[in-house]
Amino acid sequence: MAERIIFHIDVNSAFLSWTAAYRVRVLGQALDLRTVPSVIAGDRASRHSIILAKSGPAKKFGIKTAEPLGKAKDKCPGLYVAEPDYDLYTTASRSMMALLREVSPAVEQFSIDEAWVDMTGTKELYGPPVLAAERLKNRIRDELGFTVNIGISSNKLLAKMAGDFEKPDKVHTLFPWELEAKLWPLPVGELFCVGRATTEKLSRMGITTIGQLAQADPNFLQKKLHKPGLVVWQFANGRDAEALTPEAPANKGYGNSYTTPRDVTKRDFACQVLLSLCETVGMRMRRDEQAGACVTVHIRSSQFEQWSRQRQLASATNGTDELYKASCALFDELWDGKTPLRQLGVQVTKLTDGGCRQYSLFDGRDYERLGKLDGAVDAIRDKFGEDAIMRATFLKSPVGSMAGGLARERRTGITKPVAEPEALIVRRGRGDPRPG
Amino acid sequence: MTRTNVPVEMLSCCGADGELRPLRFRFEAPDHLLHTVNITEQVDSRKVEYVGLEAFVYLCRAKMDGAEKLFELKYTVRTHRWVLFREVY
Repeated sequence: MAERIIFHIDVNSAFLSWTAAYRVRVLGQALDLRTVPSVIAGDRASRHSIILAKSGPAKKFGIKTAEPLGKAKDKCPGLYVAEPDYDLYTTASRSMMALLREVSPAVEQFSIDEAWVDMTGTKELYGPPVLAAERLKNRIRDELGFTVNIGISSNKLLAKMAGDFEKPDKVHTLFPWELEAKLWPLPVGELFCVGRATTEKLSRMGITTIGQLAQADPNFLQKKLHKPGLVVWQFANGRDAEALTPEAPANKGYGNSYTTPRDVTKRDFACQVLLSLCETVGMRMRRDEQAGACVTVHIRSSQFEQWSRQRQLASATNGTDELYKASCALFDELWDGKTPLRQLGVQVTKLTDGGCRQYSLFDGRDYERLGKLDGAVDAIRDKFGEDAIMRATFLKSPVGSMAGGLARERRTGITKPVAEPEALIVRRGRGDPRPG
Repeated sequence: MTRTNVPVEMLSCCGADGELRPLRFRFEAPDHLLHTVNITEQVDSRKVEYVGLEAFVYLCRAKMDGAEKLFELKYTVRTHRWVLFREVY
């Protein structure tokens, strides 16, 4: 069998690159954001202002992604701040994925700006992998106007690690025989799946580089870190058996959360937030024809303490009303009625395809009618927008009728692979009873 | 290179084969005077897709105030807008 070749393509500071490319190549502005200390930061007015992306020069000032904008401005007084444009980012992402699919049929989108491409057996078509990667990288730069890093290896993990080496606009290889020279000297925190907490634990064991982790005793790691210990040990040794899956796996659960602009101190308001979240979660589940039997509510206080509680339902459901009742009951058990809350979340797991329902002898509710109502509301929202119909309780409420998830202007497939519009139409046309 | 990205009013011809050809355009100069330009020759055209935004760029020759000029005009498909992207000379 031919040697497996996997490319990992990652846009260099994606949001910033896309905004910069748009301003320079489409609007014809002279200033290229990528060459000055600049950041993309959220809307200041709604108090969600964190750094979403930074330019290379901004990185030199020690500005980090996800830190508050105020802090970044302290580090670099002349910092140029640009607002995000999610519509543009979706377009840019789609165009890049379309270009990648031209190159190879096996493309797995990992996030809005990252993808793996299986290039196994394309040597006769595009030449040896490094040259092919150089060509692909330059093609993206010339045709789409932004730069990417390409990592090449024989599995997904190593390809991703290679893509992170030196930026921007570079091609790197990291084949298993290069591990010792290229990967092992790096600090352990650079490894995929090793976060801040694991880094700390590992450093207490005297493990600071990826090489040390690779040479550690796997049994010892498993004892200390449990199953993830073994996983990161395998990763450090460059082993990753995961296949490239061009289609996203099915959801294991549906959840949404909402960070309130002000502290929640009243039960009424909290329940309103929960209702709004249930609307979102329910609609997403109904769209995918799924129902869940386990509801989880989590709350986070203004001091960032977290609590959560879950409950099994008598029957799997995707009805807004049922989810809301269960969430409220869980919330009452969770909350002491005093602690100010900043975030609430609802999750539904234990999914089934929602085909049948276990009726209860003692429950007189007409679930079929409620289901029809939900279906009608969904159809209206699909056709006329989310605000076309809402519960009266949201009329004068600061919470939108459908809270959680991405802000409305961003809700076009940012964190998940972007569905092609044609695919949606086909799905609707086939066996979907909803009108519109 | 002056007058970058000025929105213009455009008269163009859509051929039966889908080919788009700019013919005549009008734009507002910095002194707020309107200038009408007749395109004499389309030197080059190409499709660009920067950041995924489909657009067509036309390099056109025209006579303005007795002098020959070379303009780069751009039509963005999504917004249906024409702009005078730059004046080459």
